[in-house]
Amino acid sequence: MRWLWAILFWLLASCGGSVSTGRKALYVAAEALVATDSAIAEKYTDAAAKALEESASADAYHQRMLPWDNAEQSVRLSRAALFAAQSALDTFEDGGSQARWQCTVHDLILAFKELQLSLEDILPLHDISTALTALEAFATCEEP
Amino acid sequence: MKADDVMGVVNDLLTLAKLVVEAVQSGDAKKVEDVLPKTARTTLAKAAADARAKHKFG
Repeated sequence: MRWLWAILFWLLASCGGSVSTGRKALYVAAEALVATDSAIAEKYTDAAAKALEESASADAYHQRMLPWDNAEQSVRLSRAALFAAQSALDTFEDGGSQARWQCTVHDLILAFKELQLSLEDILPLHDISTALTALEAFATCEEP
Repeated sequence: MKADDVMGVVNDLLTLAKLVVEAVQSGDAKKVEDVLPKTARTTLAKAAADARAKHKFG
């Protein structure tokens, strides 16, 4: 899939200045998260129904659902990181800190990588991989 | 490469093309809050599943 990532990077890099490119990267990342969230939600419901049917206790059920619950938590963290990055980009555009914006993108990439890890055994991750590549152009973080 | 992998690549390509074309064509890409729903669908699915589990196990 690396060739796809390279194409996306090249297209986004040619979009213009850093704020404009940043907006497009966040947009792509948000769309990718929505697509991934929808895919997980559908599978989550199926997995929960099966776990509920085959579990003899609440503990057994929750143990079985643990990988899915980790994925759900990662989705929430990724959403929060996306909102934070959008806010930082808006502030940067209004004359605020570029370093802060870059740091929030760094955090966003970490959140997406966590999501990617949490889904390794339950879903293919094409959309998340695409979003990660789009964001890695902004992955430097020099602010303490 | 398996058929599923091929379909995955095709799906990736279509998704990627759609997103990039939309992003490049729009003068100002949509903001995150305009793309993400109020609540994640996975969170809603978990809430519903937890309620069913509580109903069964108490």
